[in-house]
Amino acid sequence: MMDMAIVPMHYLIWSALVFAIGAVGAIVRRNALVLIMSIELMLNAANLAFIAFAKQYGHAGGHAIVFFVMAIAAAEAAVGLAIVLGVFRTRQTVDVDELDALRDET
Amino acid sequence: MESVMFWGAGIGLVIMSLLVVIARSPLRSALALIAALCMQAVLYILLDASFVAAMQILVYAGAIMVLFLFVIMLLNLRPDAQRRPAYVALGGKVLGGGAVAYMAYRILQGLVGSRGVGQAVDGSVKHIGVLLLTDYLFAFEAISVLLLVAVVGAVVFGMRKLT
Repeated sequence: MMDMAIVPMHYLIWSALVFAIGAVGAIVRRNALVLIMSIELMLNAANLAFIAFAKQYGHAGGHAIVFFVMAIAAAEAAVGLAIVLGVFRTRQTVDVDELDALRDET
Repeated sequence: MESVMFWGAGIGLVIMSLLVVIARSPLRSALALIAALCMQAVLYILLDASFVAAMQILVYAGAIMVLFLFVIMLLNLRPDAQRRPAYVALGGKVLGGGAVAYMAYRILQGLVGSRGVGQAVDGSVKHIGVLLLTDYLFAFEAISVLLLVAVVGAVVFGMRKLT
């Protein structure tokens, strides 16, 4: 197992595992901060797949896309954390299950 | 050597990702996420993406995670008392396990067909920089506008009273 040749497509296995872990975290966890971190995990799994395919096809376009994903992750973290801070200031909680102001009553 | 790094960094990445989701304390989640991002940078280097690896450490593990740690310490949260109801937790695990199984199946299926060892890709700063300012110029400029909007949005959310 350890001495087999590593081809770029093998990296997709890590990518798939990390994406699934992030997806489970986003569903199961209630803490808004951990929720955002799970989303970061999923974005990183996509990044790893982009880099693996860039190596597979010998084109650096995937590297450029990863930069855009990183910029979007930064923007998402900044706005998401600002929202979490705002919610905490008014409600003293970051538990997403307690935020039901927009929930339909029926 | 490459296979040792591949398995070491990959298994470390998965373990640290699991810790992000499992850890009760958000602080531990954030520290595990930093470790996971560093492990991923090792995988990037193995894939000839040296510049992306440097950016991963500097921007992701550095700047973005400092923002997370800052907010976590500012809020001074207690560890999670309880998780979501059992059916949500079970559903999430079933969904995640199903996703892993399906993607593993498709990846293994693809691996059987093609055994491409990959081609050399120039991941240097120079090449990526030229690419960003030629082929991806519009996306590059659009991202700069997006970041500006995000900064303004964060400032507006941060105001004590919206004016």
